[in-house]
Amino acid sequence: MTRPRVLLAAAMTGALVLSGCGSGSGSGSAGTKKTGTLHMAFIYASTTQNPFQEMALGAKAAAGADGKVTLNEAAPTGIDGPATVQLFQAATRNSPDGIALQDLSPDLFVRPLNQAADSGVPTVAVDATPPPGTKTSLYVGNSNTEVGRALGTEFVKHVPASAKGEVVLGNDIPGLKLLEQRLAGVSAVIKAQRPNLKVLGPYNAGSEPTANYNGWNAIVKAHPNALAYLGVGSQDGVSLPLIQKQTGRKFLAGSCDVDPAALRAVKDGSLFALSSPEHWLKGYIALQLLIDHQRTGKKLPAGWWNPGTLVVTKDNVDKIIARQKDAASRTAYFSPIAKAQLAHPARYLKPLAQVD
Amino acid sequence: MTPGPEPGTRSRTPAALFGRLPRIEAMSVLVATLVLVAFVGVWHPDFFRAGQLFDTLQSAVYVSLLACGMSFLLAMREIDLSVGSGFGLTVIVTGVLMRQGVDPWLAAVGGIALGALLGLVNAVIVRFVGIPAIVATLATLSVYRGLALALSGGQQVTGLPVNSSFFVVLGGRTLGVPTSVWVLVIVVAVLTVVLRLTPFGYRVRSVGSNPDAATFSGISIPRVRLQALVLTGLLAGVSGVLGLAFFTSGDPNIGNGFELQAIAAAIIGGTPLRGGSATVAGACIGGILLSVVASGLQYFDIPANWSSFATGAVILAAVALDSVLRRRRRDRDARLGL
Repeated sequence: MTRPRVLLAAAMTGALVLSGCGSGSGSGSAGTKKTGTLHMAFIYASTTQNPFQEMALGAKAAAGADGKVTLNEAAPTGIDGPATVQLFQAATRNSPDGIALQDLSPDLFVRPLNQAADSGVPTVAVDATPPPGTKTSLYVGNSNTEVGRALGTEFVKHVPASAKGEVVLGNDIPGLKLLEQRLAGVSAVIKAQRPNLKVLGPYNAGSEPTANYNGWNAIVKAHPNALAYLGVGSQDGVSLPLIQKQTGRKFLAGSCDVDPAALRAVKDGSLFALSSPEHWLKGYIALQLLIDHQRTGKKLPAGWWNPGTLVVTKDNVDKIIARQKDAASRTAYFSPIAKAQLAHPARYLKPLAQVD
Repeated sequence: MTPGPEPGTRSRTPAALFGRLPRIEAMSVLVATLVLVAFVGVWHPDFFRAGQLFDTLQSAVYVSLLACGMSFLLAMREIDLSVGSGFGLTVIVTGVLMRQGVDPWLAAVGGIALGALLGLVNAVIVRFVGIPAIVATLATLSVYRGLALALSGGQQVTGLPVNSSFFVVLGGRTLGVPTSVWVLVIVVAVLTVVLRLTPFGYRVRSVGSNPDAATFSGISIPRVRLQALVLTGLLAGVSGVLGLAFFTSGDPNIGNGFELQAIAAAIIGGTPLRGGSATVAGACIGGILLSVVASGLQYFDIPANWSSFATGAVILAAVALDSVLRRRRRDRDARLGL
């Protein structure tokens, strides 16, 4: 064999080994009970950020709990709307039993979501509401205003009622509705309960790890006398403690989501709290609803399913760190909660128009 | 004994035509792409469905159009890093115009003109600031993306007249094939003629082949560079308009990273970095190959954290196949003294 052929064979073999052997797909019309293997997908915004990974883990756990679900979980390695659209389009062909879609640019999915509906593929929107003009009628996501309010409520516990000074807010992705809703929630609580404080920002902090650290570093230097720095994205809970550690300066900081580094920061006191949108639950419930739809033949529920918010403080951080240890510990913690929610859909479902 | 063709003439027998197939422009990357499609389809016949193949082609259109323009620049030893941002800015501006009540078709013409203008701005910066195109476009990459964010207020541009013929026709299908794919086919055909048969195409290749010789023979490198940069910007505008037609909304971050994909597609397609030659069809097929990899891997249940690695490995395999085919052709040409 000539050298180029050897190289080619090696490259192709590598690709083959990586690719593995998939299984064929099947489909069926809605309304019929399916007992065989279901081919489903969880398409999400990026493989690189903790909140999205948590949702994917939840979806995977739901697939694993059923035992006969082949789950195609796919995402681009960075936030890239068109790339996610392409993954979604491929999923409509190979995952005909249902797709849960989590993306930060849902409006790009109008045509693909309608194509999925026309092909009889049920879809659920996760974390961001389905765009107007689509037939996707089930949304599993938080009240992000509530997530922000929870952080604000925890913040005011650490500040005397008469306190004066500046509170600086940061936004990881300006323009992203869910983060703006959280910021609105935080801001509203502070303004209502600590009227002597001056709320500054939100300033652009950046979402990717390096950009976020550099962003917050500059913000902290630009506002050296601020009383507190509050972010509402997952990376903020990593960057703000790191800045405290590297500068030796202590300040009040809080954030959202449950990045492992942020949890350690709550434990060591660098963060006063994390407001967790419980991403894992969203992924789990979205996929479980799709599975139930196929297994029972019942119609997918319509509306907004809000799995709730959890505030992580020093009081419960050890429990949450233990929960976040691995996939099994998450499943052990969340399964009873998910089962309880799924047993009473009416308690958790609201009209889509009420999403905030 | 059957007499062979006379010297200087070419046989038109089927066997002879088949024998000349490997010599057709971009044949090796086409073969690599088809092998990849066949590989995925053999394991997962669903991939051969017309709907899936059209989805894959439609997804490839945006990067392929950018790659076509990039092949002209690479042929001149130049590069444009702002095409992804130009694509995004076109999407946003066209969407904003539509939302302001401008007729969608008119807004689309404005979007394409904007793309050309962005290319012109790049060219003017290169010419008058006196910096290489790669540096100038590295700066405008950020400038154009920043404009897209500022004009949209960081928000998605929605509420567009999606029932207008612009969205129905350009974002839909014509004769069963996505209209954007037809546009791509036409653009590739036109640009191939431009590159191969027009004085402009000759000048582009001459500049890349030997800039000093081109200057001595009276070719104005700045003028050719300006024309190539405007053409690349124009294609970013066309790509952006097609993107808006399909997505029916504009995201200010759309097109991030398209510049690297376009460069990769052009190079995979057979346009060398050393300049002097280019293949528009190859750049287009390079873009399709990348799209096939992205869609095809979805059929193999690859864990998300391995998908990037797998994508790279499959691209490497396809490029290796392409390289082997090219080398065989070169060796055969050398043996025949061609």
